[in-house]
Amino acid sequence: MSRVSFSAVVLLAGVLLGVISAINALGSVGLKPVTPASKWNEWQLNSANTTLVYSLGHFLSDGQLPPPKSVRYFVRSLDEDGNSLRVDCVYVVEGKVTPARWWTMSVAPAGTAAPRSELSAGEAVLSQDKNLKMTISAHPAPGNWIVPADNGSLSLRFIVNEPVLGEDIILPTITKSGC
Amino acid sequence: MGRSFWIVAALLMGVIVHISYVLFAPGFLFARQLEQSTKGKPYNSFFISSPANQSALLPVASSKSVVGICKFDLGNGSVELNAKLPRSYWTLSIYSQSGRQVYALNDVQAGTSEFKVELAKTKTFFQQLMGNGRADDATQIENLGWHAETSEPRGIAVIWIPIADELMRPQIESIMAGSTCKVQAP
Repeated sequence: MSRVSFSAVVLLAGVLLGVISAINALGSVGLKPVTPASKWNEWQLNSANTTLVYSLGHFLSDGQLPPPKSVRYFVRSLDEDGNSLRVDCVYVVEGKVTPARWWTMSVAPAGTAAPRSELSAGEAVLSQDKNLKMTISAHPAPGNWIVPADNGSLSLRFIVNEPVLGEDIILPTITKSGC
Repeated sequence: MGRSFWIVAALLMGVIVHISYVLFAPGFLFARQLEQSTKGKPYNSFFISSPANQSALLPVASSKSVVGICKFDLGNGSVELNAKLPRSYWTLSIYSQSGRQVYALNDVQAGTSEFKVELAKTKTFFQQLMGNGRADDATQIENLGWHAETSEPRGIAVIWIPIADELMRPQIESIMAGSTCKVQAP
């Protein structure tokens, strides 16, 4: 009797382990740092990537269609100093504009899918040397400005549609300017 | 010995469950979510998604874009998507019901803003062997437009058009509203 109970308990634990590890893996395995030192992470959507099934599964599990293969999808939740992005702080996003047909930068409460506010290629105001400077702040700011979530921490998403082949994607820096 | 056997069996069971979950659960969850988010929209019809719904379904589609959807069912034969789009940047992505992308097209590849795509079920191995399937894709391209196949009978075709200004939305929606999605005449 005790042997049956032991086998049943152990097998059930194996099943639970499989489910829990799968759910955790869907949320993280397909997301890789762009470079070892980068704060930006990218969802691996290239069909040659071995973690593709986890990336696609991540979006599908959230009830979302996976991004098309022509899209590069970057996320980050840390500023340049390695601190979590928070709604009660002001951040400056700066960088060269990525050569692509379209891009969108948006903020969302950490762990959620729906963006709170966004800036796209069609509306961004650039400097003469094609640099982008954008403020993330709960209060109005001059120039490009997006509003963070209501409270808590947030994540920044940078979605690049059809980047120019052969050109590197330039990811902007995020610097905290105050809280 | 007996306990070691069951522990190894449990670990194997965990691996099998992990692989099965990763491969099949997301597609199942997505198919269920798709049914809920497009509830009330009949199959084989074209509709324009509301800004609130579109980013929930398509992560690249922010509220500042226009999204047209054809929810298709190939159970009654091939479906023809007849798209009428503005002369701007757009993408068409076709997914099976489980979320697998089976086809993609954009304005540059199409070279036109009005085109047709025939959606059909993948021929079975037996149909291919017997040679009683449909004409080759090359013939279809000449006669109809583009041709996409999916092994699953149901799916979704999504047209995405980013807009720089919300004022452009009514104009783009009125052009896109001329698109149709219907079962092909025999």
